[in-house]
Amino acid sequence: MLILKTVSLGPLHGYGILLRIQQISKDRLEIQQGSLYPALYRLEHQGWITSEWGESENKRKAKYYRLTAAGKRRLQAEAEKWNQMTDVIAGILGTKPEEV
Amino acid sequence: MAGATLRRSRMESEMDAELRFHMEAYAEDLVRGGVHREEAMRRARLEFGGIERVKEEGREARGANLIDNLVQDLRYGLRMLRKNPGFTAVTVLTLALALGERGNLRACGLRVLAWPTFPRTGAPGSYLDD
Repeated sequence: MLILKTVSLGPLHGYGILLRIQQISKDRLEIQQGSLYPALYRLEHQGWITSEWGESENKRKAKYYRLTAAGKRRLQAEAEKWNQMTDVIAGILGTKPEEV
Repeated sequence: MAGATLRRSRMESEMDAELRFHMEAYAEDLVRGGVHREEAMRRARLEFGGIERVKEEGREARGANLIDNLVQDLRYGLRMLRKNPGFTAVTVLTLALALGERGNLRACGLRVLAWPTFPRTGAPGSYLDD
């Protein structure tokens, strides 16, 4: 979900995705570099993102990923599920003894 | 079947290029932050936990794709076998020979000149007791 959200902001290559996640999480989230690519390949295989070779800022060949239309819908669905879940958990955690 | 292998090797080299770009970009950032080039490369390699393992996991993540290819290959192979019954018979006989189905072959009227040797495992009444 985090990768989908990151890529929704604009096409990025793998390293860029890593940096962007760190940046928008205000350095609170760090992804293990080794697990990034299996995740990207899986998402691509599922059709949520698509890739194409392009040129990086320093004129080197890099593979850029961007969100597909299906990926956008998937992101919205996942975000909604997440919000619902946090609601439920917040409700449980906020339960007082006398409410049980 | 050659198509699948070609596709796979292209995927491999693309993965290689992709990972190398990432590692170098990461190392360059480290260098920009004041780390020595060699140390930066070492750290970049470490972070990736060994390129081979990353590629392996990448392959697994694409596993479904490879399984599709394998299924396609199997289907093609079966179709070919069905079209060539003579070839199939030879294949079956060869496999039977390799597995040691001696009774079967004798029934087919074949005399085998040399049996493949297996390491002795010794359990009485075992496969090798002949």
